[in-house]
Amino acid sequence: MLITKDNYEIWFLDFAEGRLSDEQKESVNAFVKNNPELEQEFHQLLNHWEALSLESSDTTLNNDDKAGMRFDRISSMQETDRLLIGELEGDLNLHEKARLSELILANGELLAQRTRFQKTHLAPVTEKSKIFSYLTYSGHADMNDPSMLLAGEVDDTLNHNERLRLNQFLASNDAWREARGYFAKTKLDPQWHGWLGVVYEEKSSLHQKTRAAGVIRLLFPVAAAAASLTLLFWLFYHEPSQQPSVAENHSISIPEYHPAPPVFDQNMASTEGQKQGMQNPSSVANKPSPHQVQPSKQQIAAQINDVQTPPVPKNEYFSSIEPQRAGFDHQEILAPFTHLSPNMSVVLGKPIERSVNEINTYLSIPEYAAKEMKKTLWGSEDYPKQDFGLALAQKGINKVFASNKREEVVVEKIQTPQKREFKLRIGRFEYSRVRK
Amino acid sequence: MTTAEYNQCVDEYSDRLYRFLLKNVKDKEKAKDLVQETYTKLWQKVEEVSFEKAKSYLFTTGYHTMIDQMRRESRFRDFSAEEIRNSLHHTSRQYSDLQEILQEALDKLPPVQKSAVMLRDYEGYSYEEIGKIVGLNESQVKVYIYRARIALKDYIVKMENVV
Repeated sequence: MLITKDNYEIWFLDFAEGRLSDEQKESVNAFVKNNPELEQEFHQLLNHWEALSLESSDTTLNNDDKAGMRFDRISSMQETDRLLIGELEGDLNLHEKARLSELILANGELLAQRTRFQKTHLAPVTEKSKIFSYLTYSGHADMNDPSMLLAGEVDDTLNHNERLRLNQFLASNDAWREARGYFAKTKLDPQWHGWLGVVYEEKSSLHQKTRAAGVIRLLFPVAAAAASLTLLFWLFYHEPSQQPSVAENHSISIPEYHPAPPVFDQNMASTEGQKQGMQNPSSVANKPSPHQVQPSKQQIAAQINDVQTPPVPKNEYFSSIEPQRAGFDHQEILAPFTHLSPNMSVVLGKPIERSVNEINTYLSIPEYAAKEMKKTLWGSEDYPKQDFGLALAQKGINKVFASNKREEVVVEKIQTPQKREFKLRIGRFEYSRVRK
Repeated sequence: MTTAEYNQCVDEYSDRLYRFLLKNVKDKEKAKDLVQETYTKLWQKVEEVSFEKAKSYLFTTGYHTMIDQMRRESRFRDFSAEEIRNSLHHTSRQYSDLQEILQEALDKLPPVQKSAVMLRDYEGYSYEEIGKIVGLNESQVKVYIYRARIALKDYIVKMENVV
């Protein structure tokens, strides 16, 4: 038999009387441990029992007293009393419960008697135990109990026989008819204004954009970073204009971290994106340009200084894609795919092609993001490269600012007669390239 | 489920879910967080959960997320005579609406009973569906709902006697 809160008293008593096996005792101890609120009751019972046992060692009962305690005397008491007390003690089996229900059905006065019996309980009768008294501890609703039948009627789950039984109860007893009215009132009204009046006011925060929009949104900072790189290359392959455009005091705090300047050579532009999107010297040489003297890459490299924060801890910025599904999600993953490696300014891969195993790959300004940025700014990735500076100017872009919920992206070009500086800030990550 | 269907789920079920959770946790901010967390979980599974099953998924996930939180906070409370007495003694307001009394009685039920009866009455779920949501079998749900009905009935009777 399982120990529950409906039958634990029996177990406690048996424990105190020493009727339990070692295994059963362990079960009781475990039950008490799991129900600390009963611990006091359990120990009190044991203590009292011990005291009683000590006292009883000096005391004897006479034969009449003993006879009064014999079970046949108990069973010979009025059936209704025995059943009502049994109910109070939680001792009734299913048949006895059914019998009690029949008696109550036949005699409404028994309800009042039942209440009086319940008042004889020295321990306070909690509502909970009262509720449980309608049930067997096996966890099944006792459908011989009129209360259960009435509850079932409210839920419209009675079968034919249960409905007949309920009708019999109702036909013969005013008390149950009255109770039926109360049960009917327990139905919660889903149309009640007090219920419908409670609304979740932040639905917009739950809405999701379409997949395509989600891609753009999540890649927005990346796209901005991509634009920055494009802008950077534009800056370094064009001579400074005659008029400084941004004030010097647009300073950004950059930690003292000076990685080796990147080495530019022909092999660096390894991807198609770079060959197309990042102007190489040969392509520039073929274009008519107001700036006729193009420094070599080596010359440029000697003039520039890259400064960036130390590598940002993983997950530091960018909500990103969930690689398992190649879809975009709220899940954060480990890849800082805008990480600008000090030694690399080339695209190492496309985020869309990443898999779980590649999440630690350094991806510096992906070509994919560059394309997205171009599409964002110009509606197409096929803008004329030679007009890039003009296109930026037309859009008033000296400083690209973007943000989403997680991070802020600032791309800034500072140009003075003394130097040209390009700054990129993504969340806590900062990158700066200065050309004297 | 498509993104559009997901958004439809937000429009159709977020209020219901919020009410259900709020009634259980009795804290607006916590209920909002639970709604947010539940929908985040749905979005994560958006390709696996069909639109037809979305409501069930939301209530199941919301319920279990809430239970986990309540366990962490040890806020399970039993329906005790003490509570009823206290609430009766401190009840000076006049109820004009039976549903208000029921709401108060509902708050005194153990979480599982409260959830079961709310899912039954407010959301119209069958015992089987409620069982799937709260992780019980059908007969256990039946017992819990019956217990809840009896408790609610007793509360109404007591309230009427007091008034």
